[in-house]
Amino acid sequence: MLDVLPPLFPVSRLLNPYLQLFLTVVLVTIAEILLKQGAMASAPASVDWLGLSSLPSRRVWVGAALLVLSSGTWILVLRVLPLYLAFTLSSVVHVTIPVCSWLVLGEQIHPVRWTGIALVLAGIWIIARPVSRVEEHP
Amino acid sequence: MSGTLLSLLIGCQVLLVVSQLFLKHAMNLAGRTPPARAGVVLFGGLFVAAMTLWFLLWMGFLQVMPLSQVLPWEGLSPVLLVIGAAVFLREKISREAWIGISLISAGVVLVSVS
Repeated sequence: MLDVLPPLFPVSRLLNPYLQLFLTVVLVTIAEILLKQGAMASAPASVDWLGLSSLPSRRVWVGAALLVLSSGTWILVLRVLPLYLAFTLSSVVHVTIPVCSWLVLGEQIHPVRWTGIALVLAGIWIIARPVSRVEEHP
Repeated sequence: MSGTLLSLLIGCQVLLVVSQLFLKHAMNLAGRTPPARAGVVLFGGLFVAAMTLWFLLWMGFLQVMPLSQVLPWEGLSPVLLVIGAAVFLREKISREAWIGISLISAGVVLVSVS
């Protein structure tokens, strides 16, 4: 496993894949909240599977722009990290988005959902632990 | 939940996973010496196409369901993606990582139970 993992501080710290992964998660979380707000404000009376009627909303455009930006940071992540590692660590959005939906949109989180959030965090911890151990002692 | 809605939600996750496999494959091709330019353009283009379709489907779901009910379906994607990364990209996945991925997927399914 050692040979596939990058050093903790590459030449440029800004390009550190873990910093870029953090930025990606923040961007995606903000984007999803904005998209949801924009989509709700423009929801049509009848179901429209492609969601085209959401396009006039400004929040939708800002959300989409943040998603595009997050593609950029995500590419910087994938340049270095194997896909399975990057993708599973990015699952932390399943914690940040429900929590922000609760804080910002007032959506409910019942106990079962909190349990799921805890399981996601435990899984991420298991995956992240050997990575951080390798990086502390290269 | 109707069958159509369910299969669209699952199809949406497959689309997301496939797009990520395209992107990582394009990055791998770009990292070769010399870089395989045609391949990077092809798979980069496939990534953009898959993401665009995914985005429009996603907006459709957000219009009719609460975000905290749409998002949990992404729980399928860690498992689908890791299988894809192992099979198509030949990434080595440790036993510990499989345990973590199972926990994440189980967690995301629990988040979706309402």
